[in-house]
Amino acid sequence: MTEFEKVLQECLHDLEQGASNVDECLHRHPQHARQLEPILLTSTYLERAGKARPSTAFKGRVRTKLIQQMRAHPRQPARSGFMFMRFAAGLAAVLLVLLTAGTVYAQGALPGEAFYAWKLASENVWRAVSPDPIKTDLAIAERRVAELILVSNDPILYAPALDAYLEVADRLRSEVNAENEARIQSVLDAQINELNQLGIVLPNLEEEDPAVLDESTLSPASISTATSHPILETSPINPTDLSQTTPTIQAPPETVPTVEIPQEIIPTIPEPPKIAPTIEIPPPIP
Amino acid sequence: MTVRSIHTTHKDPPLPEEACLVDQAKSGDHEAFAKLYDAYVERVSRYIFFRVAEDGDMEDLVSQVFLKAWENLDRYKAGGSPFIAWLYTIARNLVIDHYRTKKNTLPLEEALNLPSEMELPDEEAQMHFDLDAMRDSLQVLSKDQQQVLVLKYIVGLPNESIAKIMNKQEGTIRGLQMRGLQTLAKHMREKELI
Repeated sequence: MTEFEKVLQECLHDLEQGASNVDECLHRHPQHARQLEPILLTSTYLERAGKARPSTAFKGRVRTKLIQQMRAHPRQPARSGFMFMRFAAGLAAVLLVLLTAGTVYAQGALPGEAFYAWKLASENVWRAVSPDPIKTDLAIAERRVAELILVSNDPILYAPALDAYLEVADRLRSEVNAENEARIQSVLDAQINELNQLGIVLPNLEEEDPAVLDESTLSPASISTATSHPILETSPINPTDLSQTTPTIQAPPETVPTVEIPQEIIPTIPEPPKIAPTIEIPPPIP
Repeated sequence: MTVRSIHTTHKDPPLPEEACLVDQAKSGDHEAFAKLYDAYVERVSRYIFFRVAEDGDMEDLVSQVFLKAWENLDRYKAGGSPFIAWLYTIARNLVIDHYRTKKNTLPLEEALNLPSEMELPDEEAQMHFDLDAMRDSLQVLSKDQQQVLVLKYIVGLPNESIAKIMNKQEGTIRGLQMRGLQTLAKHMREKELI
């Protein structure tokens, strides 16, 4: 920056701040006065031009027009949470769509599939809100039968499918009373017949009197087979009969070696109500 | 009193409640926005006047600047650039559009009053001449020089805001100001305007 430029900048700054006027600047810098004068005068003219203002009438006309236009184009009140609420509502809508789509998709899931748990959860909701839980359970039982048929040839999925069916059947039987007994039993019987016709033999869902069990029920072959099907642990029993069943669940000492089950497993068998009543074993899995 | 002996400090004082008024206007408050209009209409009008030459339709353009500001108020972030700098950006875009369409407008004299220092009839006439002459003379400058001088002297923005608007360093703004004044002074002297 040359000396003249420094002087010019200083003078412009002083004029801008009102610290001095043109004559005072020129007086301070006589060696540059000839060059400074037209520039500082131009600056002053510009400053004065910057003080020009529109007339009151002009401002009033524009103001009136502006207010009319603002009323014609009202702004929506700005709310701080408006954008967040929009986002939240959008997100909720997306989640609802995903939940609905997932639930619909899950209805076709089979035991062992990722969405099966979702299917069971949705059925629990269905039961919870249903005005007729028995009717809902009967419908759910029909689903379990259909699943059981579909996976009957799958050695891995068969057991959980059977478990799922028996769970519903147990629930239905626990709800039996004088009014609905025929309604429930007829459906369960029909389902058992349907499965039997397809070669699927279920454990007897009827209560068994443990006293009538013969040794063949606990034969080594039966036990061996039973250990591969958890249903043996879920068969129903009347709790009032526990005292009677307890003695019958003792595994004969001679059966232990032939069953070829680790010794530590045997103590788990004495869950009398759950093991003893089973009288039929599912057929060997192909 | 001559121009040479006048102390010129024309900086408009900042509007202390500007941020509050902007917030209220964003909520749809007409009166709050009208107060912003009252505070800045003179500076916007001057800018329009100096940028639209003799054909500027002051009334239409000034009202359009504020209407667009009203409609797009959510885009203005309080705490950043001054509100007047945002208005200037809107005004500049409208002036560019104006030149594209070449609208016929009202004569300047119908729109502008004279500066308060020039209230005597002779000086008033002289000031009209000065305003017109100054506006014409600005056309000899480069676009950047014109912009700096108009924003600094006519709109009244500080160098810091001008630098932000033009995306340049403040030193560059000072350089454009000095060279623009030199060129303008030479032209006005040649035209015997000073």
